[in-house]
Amino acid sequence: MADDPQSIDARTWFRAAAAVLVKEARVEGRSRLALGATVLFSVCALTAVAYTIGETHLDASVQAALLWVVLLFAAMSGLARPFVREEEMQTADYLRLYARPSAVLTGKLLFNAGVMLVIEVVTAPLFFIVMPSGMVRPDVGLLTAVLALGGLGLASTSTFVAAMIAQASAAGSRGALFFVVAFPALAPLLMASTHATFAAMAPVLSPPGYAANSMVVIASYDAIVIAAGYLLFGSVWSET
Amino acid sequence: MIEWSGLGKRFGRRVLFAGLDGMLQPGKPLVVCGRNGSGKTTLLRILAGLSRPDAGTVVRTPAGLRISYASPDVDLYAELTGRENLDFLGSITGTSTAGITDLLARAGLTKASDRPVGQYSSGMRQRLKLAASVFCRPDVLLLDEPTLALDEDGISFVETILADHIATGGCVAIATNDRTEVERWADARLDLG
Repeated sequence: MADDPQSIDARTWFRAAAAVLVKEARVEGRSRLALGATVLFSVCALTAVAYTIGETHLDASVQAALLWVVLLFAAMSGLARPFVREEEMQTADYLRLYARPSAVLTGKLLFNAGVMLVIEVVTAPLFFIVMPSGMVRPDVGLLTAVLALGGLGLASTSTFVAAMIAQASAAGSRGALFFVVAFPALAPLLMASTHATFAAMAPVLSPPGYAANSMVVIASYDAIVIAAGYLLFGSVWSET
Repeated sequence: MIEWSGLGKRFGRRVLFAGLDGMLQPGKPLVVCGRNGSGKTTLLRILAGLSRPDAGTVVRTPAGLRISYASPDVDLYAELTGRENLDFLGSITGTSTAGITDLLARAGLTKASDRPVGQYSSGMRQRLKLAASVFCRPDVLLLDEPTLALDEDGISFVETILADHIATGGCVAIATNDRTEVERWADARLDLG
């Protein structure tokens, strides 16, 4: 029996999205630009913060903010690469011509989510080893959930902003423009993630409902950004 | 088939071209020629859907027309091998990857097929671009300076893929200033000045 055309279509789409993801991983594996830069950046930033603070005792709320500042700058240093590299290496038109925009977006979003996961796996444990003083009977499960959802928000916003600035700006100004455009969009996520991280680091110090409210904001932010990204990406990406 | 009317493009105050009408018909290659900067590449990019015209319309029929475009301003992935580039193209277009080895052999790239494209010479890259342009079995083939940097074998590869594509009823547009190519392929000619 012949396959249903819709199922063939869905298979083609999944194959295309998976191919973009594998291509990104291969290119990254051979060039080590995004991952190397971001992980090194986060380790350097963490070291700088640790030396600056020294023996000073910091509250959990300040530590939570510091953790997200480090994660933000690490993300900014590498998550624009998948789209910016396509423009710089003149390969973007291949994707525009041959791949469906949603498959391109999915592949690149998954790749950036993977990069963000690596950044967090390296940064978060190191952060809490270097600065353990703010922890008061931490909720590890909540902390993991905050990092996962907050990381997804950082990765998705960075991916969409990178797609916009990659073709809209001159090569030299992309880095600065990326941060300028991404930061306001990320502000609500950073605030909610900082609050939720504080609640996870010191549950006894945070007001009732603080963690749950912050998690709802983060999850809603992720859902809105991803939905808006898929709705708008076609027009951002297709023609210049 | 691609049909365009009243097509115009400008960069700032400079008008590249205006009021262009024409069509690409199956089996009838169109050669676009003109001095450097006259808009040959821009016209092909508009026909491919990679650039927007400032005036006029482009109609591509039927819906879902497969368009391939090979140009000096579009590159393949330097970090991937020649085979991986074609494999990737097959995956994103839903084309069977069974013919890759044969296509690479026709392009004279068998020995280099498992080397990163970043290590290819400019002629080898051009061959791979041309192979990629026909790999996904397009309905329309848009080639910008197709023989650029090619040796004799490379030029005969271009002639083979063009002849095959035209013989099977495909649409072709070539942007070139090479007189031999103009005389060889021009069923129709569009001179941008």
